[in-house]
Amino acid sequence: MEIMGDIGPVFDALKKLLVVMGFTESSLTWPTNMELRRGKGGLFVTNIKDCKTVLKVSLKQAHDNVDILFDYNIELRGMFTDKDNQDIQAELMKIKHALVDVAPSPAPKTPRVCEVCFTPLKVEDVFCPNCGRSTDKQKVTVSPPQQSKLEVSFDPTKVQFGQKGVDDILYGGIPNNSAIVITSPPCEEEDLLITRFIETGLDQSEIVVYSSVDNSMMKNQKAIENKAFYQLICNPQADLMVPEGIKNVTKVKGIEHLTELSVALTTLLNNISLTENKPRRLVLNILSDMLLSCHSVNTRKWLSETIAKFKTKNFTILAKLNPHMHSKEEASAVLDLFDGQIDIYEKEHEGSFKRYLRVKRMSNTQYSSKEVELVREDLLIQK
Amino acid sequence: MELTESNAKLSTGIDGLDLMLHGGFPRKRTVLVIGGPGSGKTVLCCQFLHSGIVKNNEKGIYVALDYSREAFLHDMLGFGWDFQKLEEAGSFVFLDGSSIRRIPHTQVVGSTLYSSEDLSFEDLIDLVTLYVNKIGAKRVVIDSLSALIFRFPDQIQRRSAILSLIESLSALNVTTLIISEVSQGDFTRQISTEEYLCDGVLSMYMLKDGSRAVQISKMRTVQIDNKPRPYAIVSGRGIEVFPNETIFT
Repeated sequence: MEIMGDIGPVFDALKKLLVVMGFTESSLTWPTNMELRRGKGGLFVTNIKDCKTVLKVSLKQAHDNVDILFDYNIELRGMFTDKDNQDIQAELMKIKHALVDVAPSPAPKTPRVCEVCFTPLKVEDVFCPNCGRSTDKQKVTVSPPQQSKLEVSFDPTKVQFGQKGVDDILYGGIPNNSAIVITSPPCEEEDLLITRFIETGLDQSEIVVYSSVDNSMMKNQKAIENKAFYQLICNPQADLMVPEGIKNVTKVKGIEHLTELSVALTTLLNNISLTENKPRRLVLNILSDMLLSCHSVNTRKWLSETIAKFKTKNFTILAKLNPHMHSKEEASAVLDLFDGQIDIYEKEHEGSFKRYLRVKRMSNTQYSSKEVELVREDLLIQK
Repeated sequence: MELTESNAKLSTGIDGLDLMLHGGFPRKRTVLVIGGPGSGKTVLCCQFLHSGIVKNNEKGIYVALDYSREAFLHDMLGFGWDFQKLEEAGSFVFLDGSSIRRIPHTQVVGSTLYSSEDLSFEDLIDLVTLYVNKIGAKRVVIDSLSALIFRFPDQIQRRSAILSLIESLSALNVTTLIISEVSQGDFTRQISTEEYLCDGVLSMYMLKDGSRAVQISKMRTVQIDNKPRPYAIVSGRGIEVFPNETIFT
């Protein structure tokens, strides 16, 4: 790579720029070599910016230009796939182009003249050929470097879970206005992931509708105090389950009353102000109970109508299904209504059981097929 | 008034039901509203009357055969409908027909012996005619037909009496809703004589799971959605029909 200018100012400008990008200097030989580092690496690193990276830059003056040579070394975790590598290459190109774009502009090439007699000087002149005055004090002006930030950018239209590892393998989140099902045995990690999905939506001022047979979200102060959070409790004891003063709660007598449930959701939709053109989230934490009570034909019919109804209102739907509660045929009858399926499963690893998440399928979007370990402690950490 | 496409229909006062009827009830026709106890027949009919007066400036008459005036006015206030105020303004008349219902089986008028059935219907029609002409009413509700016709065990007499009532009401150029009770309030109920005779039939069901469904099984001259659709009775608002929802049975 070649940049017009003098080696010293170019070296300084590059160094400042790389520091802004998150690099720290490791060794310097002004103005010809620098070595910088970024990231810490590790097993759970999912973002390119956090991968251990060594950047070596060599500069050489060649007449009016400076030749720059980059050597970029990044320690990628095993989780990155070929598809990730393509993204990484694209990211490296972005860094390279950013460096070219923000490299210091060369000083304006005004004719070099003697400060005393204004006789034009050649580049190699050390003394003025007319008056003999030394030319050492000639000033070189360098434009200050522009600042640049390096961001790994995801598709902004995607709906984030708010859990880094999961969002990374989904390349930013699940597609907006899609219906996704999480198939999982009952586990805390899944509950925490869904809670994170709800909280992330609320943090981004999105409307979140949560339907459930229990009142577990009543304990989530952050959610219930948020005006954009709406709950639908489907339980014969719903009246007893909802503490006084909790707003935005609709109660349905039971999960088996599909007509009533459908009407309650429509009424809820009609009562919510949907003027803002923002993504909206619907969490269906009732699917397994519904499938048990109403079986596949009615559940499928209800689900297909509900998904269509909420999609027309720009909702992204996340449902939860415990496949171990149903026969394979019954579960299959509803799973294909979803645009994507995320699987949570348990695996033995060095004598202990760990839970992993993997995207099983996701229509019309790119994703990594690698598994990500769900660590309870990580899921508990507030963003 | 000449019926054109724009005024041929009469809004029911319920948005979802208007959608099922593609605009509303046909004008100057008689529609039977059938349902079991607690299904909301009276509420639906009163919503029709109230919205007609308030939104369309069409005066209305409510003929009560087994509903006291006090109870009626009180109950309707629960939906935000102040019929007493409308009555005072001359837009609404509450006709208490309970005395007709209580007339003994035979009665001597002059030198003629009338059976109570004839007297009931004649008196009812006369009363309605009197007040329709007096206030210029466009909407009439009769609550209920069952209270009148239970004295006609004979099918032929019953059919004749109902037909006479419908013809008389049609001659008044009003749109009439007649409430009729059924004991079996689900989709398996038997079809009654009056359903054949009226221009339209609107059935209100209470299903086993506690949900409610409304179905338009007949409506002459009007294109209809004849699928059962869920509805709710909402305090302070009345009946709300969900025309895009499905009944899951």
